[in-house]
Amino acid sequence: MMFAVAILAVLAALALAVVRALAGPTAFDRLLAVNSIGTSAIMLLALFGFLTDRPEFLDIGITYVLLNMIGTLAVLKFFRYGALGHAQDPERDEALR
Amino acid sequence: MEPVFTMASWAALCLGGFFYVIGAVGLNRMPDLFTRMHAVSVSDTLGVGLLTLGMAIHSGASLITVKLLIVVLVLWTTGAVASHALARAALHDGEKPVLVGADGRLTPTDCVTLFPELGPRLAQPLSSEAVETGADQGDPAAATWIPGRSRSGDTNATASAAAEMGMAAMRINMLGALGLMKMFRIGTMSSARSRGRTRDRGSR
Amino acid sequence: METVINMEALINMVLLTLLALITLGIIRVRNLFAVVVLTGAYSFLMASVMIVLDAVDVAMTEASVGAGISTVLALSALYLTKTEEAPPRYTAALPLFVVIGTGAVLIYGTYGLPHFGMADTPMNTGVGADYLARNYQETGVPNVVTSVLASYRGFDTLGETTVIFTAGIGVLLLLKRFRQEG
Repeated sequence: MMFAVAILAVLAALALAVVRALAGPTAFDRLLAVNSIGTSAIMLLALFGFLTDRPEFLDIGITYVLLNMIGTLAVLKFFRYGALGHAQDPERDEALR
Repeated sequence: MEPVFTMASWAALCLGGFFYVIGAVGLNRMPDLFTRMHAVSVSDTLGVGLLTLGMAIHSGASLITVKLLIVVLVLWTTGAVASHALARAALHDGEKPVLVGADGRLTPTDCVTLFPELGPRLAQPLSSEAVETGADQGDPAAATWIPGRSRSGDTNATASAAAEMGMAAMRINMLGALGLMKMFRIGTMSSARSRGRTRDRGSR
Repeated sequence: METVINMEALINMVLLTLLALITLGIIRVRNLFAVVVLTGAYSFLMASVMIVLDAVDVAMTEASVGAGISTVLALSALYLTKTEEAPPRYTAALPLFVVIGTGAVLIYGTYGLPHFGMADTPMNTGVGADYLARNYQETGVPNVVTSVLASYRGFDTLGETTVIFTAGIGVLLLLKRFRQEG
């Protein structure tokens, strides 16, 4: 029962984050909201496992955490450098100057 | 289960859910990106922590508690790094925090005017990922180059292999610890903003 | 137990509503960055739906492929194009008509399906029960899905892996080509 209450809270937060992801004026707002959606998905997974008395799903939660961060960082890296695998690239530097 | 533990689990789950919703409400109510990040950090730390504590109390000393601990520790660590990267990318892209101006009104303010020492740091990539060599430092065009703004023109430049991308995305992570100082700077700005806001509310 | 079932229905309803909202958002938004980001959100929500439906392995795949690999690949593709979607050249009337027609036919088709989780469907009375009964003696793998994937239809899985590997090489070669031309 108590997990049901917590799940309701997480669902409400999920809905609010989706609202921000849809409304967000800049892409960063959307990214922040999607990061929050990912966290909510992890908490939902864990709480749902406890609600149905099968908390063994948590391994997948760990995967989600890592994926969430990789996704966010990939997009952010793209934003800052315009590329993901930008290491030393003389041609591109020429183009930027 | 002992009634004490049940009560503790209840309390932690309810409080955690409360903070979680508070963070999500703040995500919608706050005026600009940086304050929204501030609001989300509540649900990412207190909310997640208390919810996990409630679940851990419920499952007792078992493997599940260890897994929960791993989840929450990774979440806290990566959350800090990801929000730092988000703030830094937004600043580099020219995102302007909404601050209280001299006339007492909320206006988007360029943070370089408030913190001039941020200017050269924002204008350049960090040294470990520096694109320019030392010889380019004197070039004024290079000094004012803001990476996020120049991305639309270069459509013919290169893209790297997908395997490299994952690694490259992770590399930004390594810079996180050093860059925390800059995050504190943003914290300073947002507290200045909230002080100003209280003043604004009082005068009304 | 009753509350558990109600909670499942409630979670499903909320998640599916949010999925529909995000899909509409993806259609409406013209900035392709935002589309990529929203697709990540879609994948996380879809993975949550899969978890509620007890398909944990599918949820894992959805999260890693949808939110992980697809985001990175879409971003690298985006790097080669513009970030704003061009305005459509033709009106969307005919495609909309076709899509709505197909959707209506598919929804009509669901009325012929058995209800979710019924025991007397061909799926549960045919070979499925046989696999469940024999799997552990024959293969020694405790997970039935894994035993089917890796043992009973091992060659099929090998073929799938080959296809995915080839697709990966193809993507790498495409990106490589652009690099040399640029």
